[in-house]
Amino acid sequence: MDEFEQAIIYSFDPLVSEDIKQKALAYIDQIKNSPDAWKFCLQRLGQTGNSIHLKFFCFQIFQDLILHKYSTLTAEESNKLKAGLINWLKTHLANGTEDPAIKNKYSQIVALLFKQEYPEQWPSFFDDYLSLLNLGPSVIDIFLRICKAIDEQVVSLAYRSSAELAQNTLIKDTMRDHAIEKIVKSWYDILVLFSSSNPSLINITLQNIKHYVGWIDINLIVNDKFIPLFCKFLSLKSVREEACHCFREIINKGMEPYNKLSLIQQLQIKNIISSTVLDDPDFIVKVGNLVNLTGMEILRALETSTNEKKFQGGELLLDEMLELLFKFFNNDSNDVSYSVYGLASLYIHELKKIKPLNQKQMQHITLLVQIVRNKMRLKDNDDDEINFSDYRKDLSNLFRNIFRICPEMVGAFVQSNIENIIKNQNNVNYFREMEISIFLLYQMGEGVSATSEETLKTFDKFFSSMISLLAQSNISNIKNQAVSIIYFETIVRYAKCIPLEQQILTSVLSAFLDTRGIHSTDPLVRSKAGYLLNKLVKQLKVQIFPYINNIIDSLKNHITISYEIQREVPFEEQLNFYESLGFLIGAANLPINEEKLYVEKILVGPITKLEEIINQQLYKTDTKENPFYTTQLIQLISVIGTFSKGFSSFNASTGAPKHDSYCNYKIYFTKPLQLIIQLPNLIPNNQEIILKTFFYMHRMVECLGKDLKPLLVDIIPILLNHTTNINTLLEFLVFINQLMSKYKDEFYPIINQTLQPIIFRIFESLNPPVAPEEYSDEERSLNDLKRQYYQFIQNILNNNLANVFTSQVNINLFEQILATIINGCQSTSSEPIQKVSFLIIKRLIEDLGPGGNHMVPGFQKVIYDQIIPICFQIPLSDTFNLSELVSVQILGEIGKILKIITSKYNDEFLNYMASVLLPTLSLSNDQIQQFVKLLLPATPIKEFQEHFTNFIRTKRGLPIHGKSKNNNNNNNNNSNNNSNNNTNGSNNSLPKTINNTTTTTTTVSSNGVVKNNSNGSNNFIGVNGH
Amino acid sequence: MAEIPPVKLVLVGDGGVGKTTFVQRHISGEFETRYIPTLGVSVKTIAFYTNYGKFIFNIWDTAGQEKFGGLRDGYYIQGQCAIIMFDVTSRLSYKNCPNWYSDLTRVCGTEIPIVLTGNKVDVKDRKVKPSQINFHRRFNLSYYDISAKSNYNFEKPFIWLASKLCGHKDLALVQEPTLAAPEVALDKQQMSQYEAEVAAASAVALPISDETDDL
Repeated sequence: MDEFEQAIIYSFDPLVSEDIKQKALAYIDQIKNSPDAWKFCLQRLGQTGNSIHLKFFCFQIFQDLILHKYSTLTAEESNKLKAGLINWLKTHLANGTEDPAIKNKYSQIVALLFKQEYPEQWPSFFDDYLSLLNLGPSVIDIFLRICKAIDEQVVSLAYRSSAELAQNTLIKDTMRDHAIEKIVKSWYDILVLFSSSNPSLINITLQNIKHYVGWIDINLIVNDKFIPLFCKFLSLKSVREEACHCFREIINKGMEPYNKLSLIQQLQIKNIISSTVLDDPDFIVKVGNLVNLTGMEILRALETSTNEKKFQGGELLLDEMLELLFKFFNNDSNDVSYSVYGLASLYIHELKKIKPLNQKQMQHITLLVQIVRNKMRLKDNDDDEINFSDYRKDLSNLFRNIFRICPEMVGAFVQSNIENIIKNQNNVNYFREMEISIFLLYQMGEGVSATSEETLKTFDKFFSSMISLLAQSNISNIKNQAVSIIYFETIVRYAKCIPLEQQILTSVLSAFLDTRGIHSTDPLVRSKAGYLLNKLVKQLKVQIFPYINNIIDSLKNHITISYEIQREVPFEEQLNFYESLGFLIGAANLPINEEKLYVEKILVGPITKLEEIINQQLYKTDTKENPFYTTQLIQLISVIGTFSKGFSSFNASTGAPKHDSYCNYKIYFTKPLQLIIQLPNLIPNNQEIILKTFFYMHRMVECLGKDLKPLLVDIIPILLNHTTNINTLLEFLVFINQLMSKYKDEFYPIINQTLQPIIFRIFESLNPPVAPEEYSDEERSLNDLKRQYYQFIQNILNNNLANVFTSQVNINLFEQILATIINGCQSTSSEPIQKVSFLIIKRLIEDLGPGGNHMVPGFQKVIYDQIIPICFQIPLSDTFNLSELVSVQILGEIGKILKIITSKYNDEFLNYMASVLLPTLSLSNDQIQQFVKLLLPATPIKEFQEHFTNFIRTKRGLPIHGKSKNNNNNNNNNSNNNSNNNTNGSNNSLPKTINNTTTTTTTVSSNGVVKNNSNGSNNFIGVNGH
Repeated sequence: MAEIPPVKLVLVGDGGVGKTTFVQRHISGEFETRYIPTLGVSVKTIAFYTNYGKFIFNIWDTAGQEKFGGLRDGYYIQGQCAIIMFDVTSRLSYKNCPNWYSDLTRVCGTEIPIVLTGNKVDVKDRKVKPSQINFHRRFNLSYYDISAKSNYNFEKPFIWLASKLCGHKDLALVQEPTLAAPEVALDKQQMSQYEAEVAAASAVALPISDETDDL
């Protein structure tokens, strides 16, 4: 081994010491960087005894040369390379001992070179290589690998530039005209010559055919020479899978429906498949795939073939494939069954369109529903590749579709299944039948929603009777996890259909509440039962309330918040119980004393514990490794908050506040509130505590309604103080948004006092001392915050709180806020922010302009100095991408803004447009008059928006999508276009006068840093200015 | 149980998809990471304890920064299994997967088990949705959503590879791997929704296309 080879081997060896590796790499680099590296490698490859790594390295040098430096070669040099590669084939590859990785790498390099040279420089490429085939099987093998690599490089690999596509097409066309017949002939000769002696050559030849058949003349392959050979190969174990693939690709070839059907008929696929020996699951799957594809192609062709050219015998072809479908679909192995799933699915899809089904189709669909049921039944040995539960989901899908096509047939089928398991209800060994029968019933409910109203009604009765059968049977006593779970799921699925007879409801609930359900020893059954009980309770609150004492009794132990209990019943499951109890008690509208009794039964424990931990400062004993009491606190807040979900001070359907006499429960939640709100101060810098506090606050908005409001003056500052990172700040904004939408303008006194600290807090986070890295998580959360900030401003306006900006306390701050809005309008890097900013501007003008709810005199100056300029500046700038939908929406908003300004300032504004602004945009007098006329209230807003959009497009030199219905407008557009040509030079730069009126531009750059470019005034947002 | 010789695992995918972060999640005292800076390949050895014995993977983490068609495939030589990784927030990184696949199989053959993984599912604005991920089904690869930063599904690709390599479908871990503490918490609801979507996507019949080629 020489130095060169040693260096390469070292470079690949992770175990070599660092300094040796460095030396090796330096040595290799020196060779790599030499322009004649490839010549050296060509020569080096000629030696014998080279390691695989060395050979690979040399081929990589060629690869780099061909891909990146090929134009530097002289004709003589590229001939040397070609000759060298062909020579290496003769001297080294011909003896057949090279590693497959090297054979493939060589083939890839030749294919890359082929791509550079063929057809112009190397028209004889195929002749050159074909002439070498007489050197023996090893060379033939390489030739076939090269053909495969060519297909890969030229045909199949996706994602190419259009230039490359054009080159590829030229290569393909030339090959089709001049080479393919010779190649196909060589394939045929190889198949004949080696049919019994060399399966590996047969396989790779068949692979070539499989890849090429899609883009060459099909008659070169579908003929009396090849097809009998393929059939022969189907019976040879070593090559039958590839032969099967060839048939698939032949059938898969794109062609007219009529021709496709003739092809399938000519091939006699049914006979071919019938003659295969189905002895090995892997092979059966391949044959299944062939059945699947053929059947699907027949169905598609029959559907799209026209009446004028109806194919004779199409039905027969279909029937033959369906017969095979049923056989494969019902196969014991799910892998085999799944191989024809696509055909089963498509056939059912086709039947959906036919009404009514004929007798044969009815037979088919009845057979299919039985097969689907068989295949969905739990298996005891699962040695399939595909996941059973995934396949079951697919099959459920089919089942639901069949149900929609034939509701009666499927209803009768499921009923007989259910009656059958009731007959065998005491036999635990019958559990698979029980599980599948109930599962089918469940699936009917999933499918029934897509059927007609009439069907829905009929089946409500059906479900009701099935549920009472099940509820009164012994099936809930069967000790089997799968049966128990599907039993509970199905009962809850049809909660609304449970007959309201006491006997039935009692037996349903007892199953949930005893050792069959939430006291089961099987943790999965217990957990599912708890979750499902909660779903059941939510649907039948009133009907179940009479059982409240039984339920509390059963849950008593399960709802204790303690480590010991949670070892058995995890906390997440406990939450379900609290939610159920909250809904039951909350919905019962109980007299005050009775309500007190029940609520206290549930809440006294948690509240006492909460008090104890806080008053005795138990949390101070927590350590980082063992935050025992903090964890308890978090759980206690969760359960009280979750229990409160059953109580609302707003009417569920109207959203109006309820009368106080219906809200006696409030006292039970205000006491914990007083305790919980202390926690952020007591246990600061704890993310979970602050997030849980927010959770509780969200609950209290619903639960306490107007009674929460007076407390907020104290609560908001506490929460704001503890928004120590962007995540909690975002949570905080969600909370404030919730408050605004709930209290609307009644929220004014509170937001008026707190706006300033909130805004400063946001600005502080938006201006981190160090800008985050691009695409980092920090940048992402900063962008989130930025979006949420604009949302927040918009919510203030949407809830009629605009006066908060112009109040004594906040008027100075407003200037800064306004700067960020203008800035948002200019934020071309984020269209959503741009859009919301313009929406904000529109609301501001409506509210603060003349005639608005919160009119302020000084706002006019803002409109003229800042808003109007950006209405033109932004859409006219190059960065405004008019092909984006959101940009079109923004243009529409700007149109509305200009219309609103007109309605507020009338002639004053129109004069300003006509005499000051529009003339700066190089418009003719006519165009100016037209623009102003369209602004008038008499013109519908749509018409102005359209004109404005076209105006901007014209100015930007973009084509116009005018609507033909308005000829007048179109003519104007044309004249705009013409005049535009004359003033092309000044298109995209705004006239100076407008630029000057914009005194300040503040930019929030994409990384969230607020930059201040103001000329003069410094009271706008500055970097870390607070 | 019989000693299983270490397995060479090749980890590929575009630059920035999180390959290195992924391998670094596994904390094992026994081995150290060796980094070959100039060549941009590092080999990390990690072990999993399964009901079929101890599996040692030598993970060749190749730098993805270099564009497709680069000179990386030398490191695939004698690879026995592979992970192709993309970033669910980058469509391009998914589109490039077929290229990585073809590079891999050219050198290692199509017989080796390969897992496709979509990283960064913890990120909220996911671009490559579960329903759009179907490339792996054409070639019988397995697919997993993962999140290196939160350890979500970390072990899944390895368990699948190990079970393929030893031919036992019921292979399972007998000892949880030691992982670095998660850097981000996951939205559990979101993840179960993704899981449902991944399952739903696999239920859609795949348009017929190229099948696995045998070398």
